[in-house]
Amino acid sequence: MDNLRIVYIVDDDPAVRQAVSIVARAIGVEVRAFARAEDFLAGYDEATTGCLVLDVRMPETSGIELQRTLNAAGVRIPIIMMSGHADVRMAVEAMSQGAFTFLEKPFRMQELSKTIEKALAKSQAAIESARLRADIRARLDSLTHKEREVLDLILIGQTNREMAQALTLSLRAIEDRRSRVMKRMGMSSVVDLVSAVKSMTTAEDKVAMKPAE
Amino acid sequence: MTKTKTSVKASEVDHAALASENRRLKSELTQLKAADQFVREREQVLQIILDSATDVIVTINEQSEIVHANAAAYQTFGYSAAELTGLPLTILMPEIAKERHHADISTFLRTGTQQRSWQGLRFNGLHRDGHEFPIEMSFGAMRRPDGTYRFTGIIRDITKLAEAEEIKRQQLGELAHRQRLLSVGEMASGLAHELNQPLLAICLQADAAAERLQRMLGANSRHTGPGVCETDEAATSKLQTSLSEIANQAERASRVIRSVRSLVRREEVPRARVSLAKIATDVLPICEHCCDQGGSQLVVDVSRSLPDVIAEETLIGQVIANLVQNAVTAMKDIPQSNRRVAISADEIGNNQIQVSVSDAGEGLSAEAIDHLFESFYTTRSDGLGLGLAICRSIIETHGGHIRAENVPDGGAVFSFTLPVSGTV
Repeated sequence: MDNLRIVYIVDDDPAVRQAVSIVARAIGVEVRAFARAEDFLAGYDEATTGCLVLDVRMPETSGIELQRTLNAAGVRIPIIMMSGHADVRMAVEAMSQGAFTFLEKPFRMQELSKTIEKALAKSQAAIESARLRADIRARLDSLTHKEREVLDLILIGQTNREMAQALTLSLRAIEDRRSRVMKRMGMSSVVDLVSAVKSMTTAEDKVAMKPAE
Repeated sequence: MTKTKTSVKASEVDHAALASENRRLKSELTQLKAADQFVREREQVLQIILDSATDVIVTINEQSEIVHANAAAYQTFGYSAAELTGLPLTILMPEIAKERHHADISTFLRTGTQQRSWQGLRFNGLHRDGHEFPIEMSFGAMRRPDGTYRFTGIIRDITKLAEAEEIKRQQLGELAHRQRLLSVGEMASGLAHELNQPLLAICLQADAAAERLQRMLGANSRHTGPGVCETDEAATSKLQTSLSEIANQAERASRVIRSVRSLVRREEVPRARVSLAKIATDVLPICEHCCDQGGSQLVVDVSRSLPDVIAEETLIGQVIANLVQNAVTAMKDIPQSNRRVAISADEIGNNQIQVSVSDAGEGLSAEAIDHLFESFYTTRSDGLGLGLAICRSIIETHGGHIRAENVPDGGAVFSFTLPVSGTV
């Protein structure tokens, strides 16, 4: 089920849950609806493409609180926050906390469908890039110490000749290692290799630097 | 007679009797002197009292003519004590008070009893320059040896007191007015939320039904002949029009709610940097009034050294006043000596200041704690269930939180947080 897409709905009002479910099913996605934020946390599958349609105002755990919990846990599911006119301030807060978007109640089917599609596309892209990064990470980890040495020098832009000098190796040996690195990393050009490794390390830095809110 | 008898028998020269008589007379003289001294001293004390009193003290006869007035009369009414002597007391009163004064005196003289208390009578006094001002007057009656009466009156200028009372009354009136406005706003807000939910469901369901109809039509037109399809198409088109109209009207209803709501409620409250000590000081008279009415003690501990918050101060003051009022109400069934409301403010880290209002009442039920801050929830028969909902919306608008809990040794505490200035 590689192209499974799930729309999660969290709203305490059964009529709203039902209506949003109908719209989501109409665009051919799987729907999981919950009355409480806690139930969602138990039933959520991080590995599958999905988005969360969330009511900002609920009696027990509010939408904002659930969003905070998810942020703190590092869960990056796109959130479509539903807010009433009364909760504009909360909607602003939701956006500043990284919600995908918010819809002001009441909204129409077309608006909801389009928003869900966009959120799912974002989720899919995020999951793909995560998979890609995991792949590069695995390949990086498979490099031997000597290969890693060469890769680091490639990354800072050294020529084969400079590397040979730096590592006191023959030009031939450097070329040899270099082709092994390219093969293991699954790259056909140096440009691809550098951008792949760099994009991943910056992404990891970002995650590492993200404060635990 | 005794003295005559003594002189007749003088020839007998009873030395002993004479000496005894002398002693008696001397002692009588000493007593008289002491009595005289006593009276003089009393008079002096009285004079000092009269001279130093800031209240006007007058003595009048049965015709209400002033027999004596003290120096304070000049300060208060613009007449010197000498000028007032012989004038009717009613010269110091506007018309309406004159009649009542005469009635009081004549009733007393006729019946020997007071028809109303003569202590702390409040009415307007009349200054020499013609302006009226509020006074408080107490009267006493003294029966003289000849059977006539004298009356003493103590008159106090209560202009300042009356002004303070007026200010307090206005503040309370304003509070009530704001409360009403906020109540309407909160009600509209609660309604908007409650109605938007079903309106959203109506919009989405109608749209989804219209779309399904469209798809069914598409399927039919592929499977059946064009003749059948045409009727279907006409019917479907009508149904779709109806469905889209249902969704449109639901949207319209929501717009109506929204416009009512923005009429009664200011969306943006102007906020400024302000210290909690100032907010607390400003709202203190109202809190004191609440506590006085409920026979409760009030303890305030809000340090001036706390960092400022960003807030609309009257709204935060309103929240505090509301919580104090609730605290007082919560203690109406406990002994008066135990009734105590405490307001405190502390820095709790995370750039937050927490303000707490605690009472010594019977605490909150678990159910109440869960629903206290919801619109229309109340445990009181006379409550609208909006006060705490308003508090919550004010505090949340300020980026804070409000909660209620029970204190282990009895009573409840309501706390709210506000972000420290510079962090919002």
